Amino acid sequence: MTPHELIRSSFRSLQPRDDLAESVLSAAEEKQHSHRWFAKGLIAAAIACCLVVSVAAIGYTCGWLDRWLDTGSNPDYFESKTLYPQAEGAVDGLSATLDKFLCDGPFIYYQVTLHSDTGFHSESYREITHTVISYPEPIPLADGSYDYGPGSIGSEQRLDDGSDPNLRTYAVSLVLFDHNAQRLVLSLSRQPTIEEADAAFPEGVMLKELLRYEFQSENESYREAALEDGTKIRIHSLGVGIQGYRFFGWEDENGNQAEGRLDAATCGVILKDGTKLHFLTSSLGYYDTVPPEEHWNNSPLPRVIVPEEVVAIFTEDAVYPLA
Amino acid sequence: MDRAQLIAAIQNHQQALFAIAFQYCGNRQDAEDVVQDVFLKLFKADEAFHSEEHLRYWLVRVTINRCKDLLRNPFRRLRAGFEEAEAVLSAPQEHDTEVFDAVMALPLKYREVVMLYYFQGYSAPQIGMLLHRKSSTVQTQLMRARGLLKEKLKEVWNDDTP
Repeated sequence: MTPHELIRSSFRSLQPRDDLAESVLSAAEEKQHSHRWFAKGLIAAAIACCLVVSVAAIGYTCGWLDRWLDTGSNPDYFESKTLYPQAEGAVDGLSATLDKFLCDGPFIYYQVTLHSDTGFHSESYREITHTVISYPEPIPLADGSYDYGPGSIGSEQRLDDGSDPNLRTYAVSLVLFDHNAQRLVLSLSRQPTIEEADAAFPEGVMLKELLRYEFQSENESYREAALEDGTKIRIHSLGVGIQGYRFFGWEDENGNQAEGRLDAATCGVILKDGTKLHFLTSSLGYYDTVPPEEHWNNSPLPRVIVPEEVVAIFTEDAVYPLA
Repeated sequence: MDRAQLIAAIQNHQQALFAIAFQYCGNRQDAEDVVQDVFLKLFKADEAFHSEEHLRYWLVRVTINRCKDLLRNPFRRLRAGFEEAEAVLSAPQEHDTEVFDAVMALPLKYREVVMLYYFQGYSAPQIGMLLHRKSSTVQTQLMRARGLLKEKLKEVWNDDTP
């Protein structure tokens, strides 16, 4: 035998298993099948990616993507259209819409759009955006959220530019919310014009000044006032703090200046019949001595008192009888 | 390649490819895996084969490559002994196991040229192309392999080629 024949003969008897062909065919078909599924999966993933990118692009274009990214993880975020019913139509066709209400950690943001059909302003609406801190301070809860209330936010917004004294000034005067900011109510008030305020409250009484200054800027000029003992004072500043405090400063005839802070919970007025009414953040007037929680639950709008009933102002550590 | 062509290729070439794979792997399981992989590659290949010889060359080339990949793999199965390898021979003649053992005992570089030359019938230049070696190198290795086989097989190995 030649070497070729020898080796061929030796290795020819080396046979693979009989079902090799079958297993190759079966594996080939299986691979083809899995390739098809893989290809389908790839196509599906590509389509899904395109969809996600498209939605993101549309979302980015429309602006809601940013908002969602900013607030979507915050379970406290919600939008509300809730308005306190008495607010609507309360002031000369002015209505308000709460557009956004966002609780972001201890901070609350809201945006209110005011609509007027009276034509008092050249624009039909104006957006008001305030960043405020709730009152009282929100309480951190174990789950990371905050208990916001009940509380209230006093805010104000002039709707005119002040150039025309005959224009009425409207304001968002009171924002209330209950526990965990689950509900937001809003009321509107109209700030009296200078003439209306003067007519209602003669000069020289501190209480009148307080009422008068509720909506005034801290930069307003001082007003004269007189206490019961005849001391004349000049109130030179008065403002509402974002946490509900009233800041005011005064000076006596000798030029001594002082500054005080009236805490909403510890100051107010005393009426003729001895009733003590506590100030709260509302600029509409006073609350009575009903605890705030009950008051807000039952009667969100503050009661407006008649100034003549008031005989004194009290603070945490002093009582100021009025003349 | 369609199913019918694949079946034909398997029938025509599986034995030769298995022999080549076996002389590299030294055990049936690895050799069968290699052959299966080679035919799967053929099934997926887009290559147009213009002759049966072209197809055979392609298969041998891929088989050698696949075997070398396998030998480089540190996790491959342990090589079986020749006693076990002989057991895979079906109905061997008396001299078959002797020649088989002698070839399998050659160093790999000689064994692969011997298999391609004597078993597959390729020339030295063709073997050089398959193994990426110079033709002269192949001829030298063939010469040394013949010497070793002659020494081992003595009168059974009747080869006058130097």
